Amino acid sequence: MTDDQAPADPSAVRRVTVGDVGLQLPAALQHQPGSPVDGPAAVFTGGGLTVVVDAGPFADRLDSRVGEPSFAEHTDASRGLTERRVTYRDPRTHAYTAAVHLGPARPVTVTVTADDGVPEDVVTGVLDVLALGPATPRRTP
Amino acid sequence: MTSYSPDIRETIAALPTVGLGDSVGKFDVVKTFLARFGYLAEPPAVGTPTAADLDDGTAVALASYQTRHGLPATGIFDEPTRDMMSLARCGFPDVLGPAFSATCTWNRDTLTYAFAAGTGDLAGDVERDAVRRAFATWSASCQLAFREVGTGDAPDIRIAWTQAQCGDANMTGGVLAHADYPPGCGFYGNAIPRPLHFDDQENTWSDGAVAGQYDVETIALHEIGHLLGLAHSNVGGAVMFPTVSANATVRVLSADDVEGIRRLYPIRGPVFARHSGLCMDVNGISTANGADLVQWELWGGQNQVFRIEWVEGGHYRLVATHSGRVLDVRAVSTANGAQIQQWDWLNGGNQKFRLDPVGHGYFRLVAQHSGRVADVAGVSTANGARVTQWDWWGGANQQWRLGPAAITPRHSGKGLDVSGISTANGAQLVQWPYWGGGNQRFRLDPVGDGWYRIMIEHSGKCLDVNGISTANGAKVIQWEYWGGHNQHFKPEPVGGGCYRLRARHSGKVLDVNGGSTANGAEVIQWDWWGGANQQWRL
Repeated sequence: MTDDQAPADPSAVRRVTVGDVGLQLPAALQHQPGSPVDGPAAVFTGGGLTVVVDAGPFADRLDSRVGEPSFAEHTDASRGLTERRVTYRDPRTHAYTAAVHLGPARPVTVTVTADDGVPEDVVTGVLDVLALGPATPRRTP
Repeated sequence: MTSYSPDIRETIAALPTVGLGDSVGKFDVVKTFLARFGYLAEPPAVGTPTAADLDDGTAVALASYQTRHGLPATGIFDEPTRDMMSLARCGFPDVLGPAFSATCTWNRDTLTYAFAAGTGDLAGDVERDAVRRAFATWSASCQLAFREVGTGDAPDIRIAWTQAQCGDANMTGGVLAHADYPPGCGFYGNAIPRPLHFDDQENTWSDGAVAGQYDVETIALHEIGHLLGLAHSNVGGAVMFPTVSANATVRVLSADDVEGIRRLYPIRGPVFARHSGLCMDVNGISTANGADLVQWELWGGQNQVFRIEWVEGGHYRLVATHSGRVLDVRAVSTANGAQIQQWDWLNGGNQKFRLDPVGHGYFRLVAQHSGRVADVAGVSTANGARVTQWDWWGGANQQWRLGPAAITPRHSGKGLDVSGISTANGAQLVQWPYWGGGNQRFRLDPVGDGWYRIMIEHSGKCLDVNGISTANGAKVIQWEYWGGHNQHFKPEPVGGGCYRLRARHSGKVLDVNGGSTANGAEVIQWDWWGGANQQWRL
């Protein structure tokens, strides 16, 4: 995992790399210690948010909440890529989560979970600044 | 096997390397190939000319194909890709259906594993024991059994400590281990044995929390989850969370992990009421909508076997296996005393139940629509007593056995127990005062025709009559499940909510030796003669 220098402006975003996936995150989120078990992954926390970036082969496909009353999803497919965005509120912990999964070639999932009291638009706002994408294919020399 | 046209293979084999943005004559056959096998989301319509260039979408599709086939994911049409595509292959698509709906499971309930190379970081058999414990942990939460075999015995799972570049994955740079999904859903391939590789080059392995080292059992538990079909979870503290810290252990499955595995492998079996020892039963073996749910002695009918299927966060439906219908609170009533019946699945809140553990393998079944629980009316212990919904008050008539729980001999009131909490094959079954240990908790897995294997929570092994003996006095031990009839038992009601447990191979029953009431008395098989030391409360 690489992490650009955090800018002074707390509303700013910065670029991080997890495996060979690059993405932007709000500068207030700090990388947490921990090793990825079996694929590129990293955890960031701050401002009542926990962001899990999983760019490995076993990334969550965001199926587990399908059918729950609070579950909503939106899927876009183009150029061989599928982007799925979901939101839900855990019925037990009441934590609000917004997540995006990009696949299928190089699966990557970013999950944003909020502590109690964090407005939902703050959670979904993290996904809006991600600028997430798969690694750029190499050009031939 | 349907193969695709040899002409296409020959055309692909003759193509040069094609990079991003390059346009090469006849490259359209590669796009046709990728669409045919499910890698291009929008395959070209029949008769539509296909541009002969490698655009962004094709590059992504190529990367997906390369990854699935263990090739460097370059996203260009290179020599290894050309060679792979030129091989004869099955005509079935590699990528099936929507990208997010894949469910990967094994189609059997017993898997074998073998150890290849170990690690020099731990002495003796320590790392192997840690992996064995991890298998036992999963086995305690779903109806799967795992058996250790030699590497030459065609194992389903092959475990090894390897270099960072192990041949099927590159673990270089901080990744600790890797495994793969079940056959048919593999990321690194689909061959059996499925891999469980620990990176022994870049990491130091420990048994427990040690600074700068990684706990074998923690990582094995996580990787076995993948081997069973689980993806990562974003729930902090879950075994399937994608990151882990050195100097830490995560050896207990979280509610999220258990829900995940039970979703993939629904539990199936009788559901016993704690107060009576009787089990849920669809009255009269009826297959009709509206048939009442009652309690009855277990007699082996399919109207007493329920499949507990995950429906949505924390909620399950209980499917009667004889009828395919589900438990349903009559008329969607929210009142105390409303009858529970079977009905066609309608996705109603009166058909969904939350399974709340109440200790020692028992659960309360909470109806989603009412918040009330399944309850044997009047705390009755009689056959035929109705199962209704009622406010939870903690009664034993509201507690149902869905997981491993105690088995108690009638004459002593003690618990069936694996001696010394041993996890080894051959450990003796004895009686001992129940204290709630995993060596005293047993799960009944149906194996067909009314027979069960009796799985032991702490070891993942099962009850076994030693040496397949048919003689009186043969010891009952624990052993890895291998399907022998000396590992199959049939509970047969003998009254008072008790059962004799008859061994399939011998016809004899489980018996506390000599009718002893002493701690440590051995459990053997003996001819049935009706002794209280041969009667068991489940």
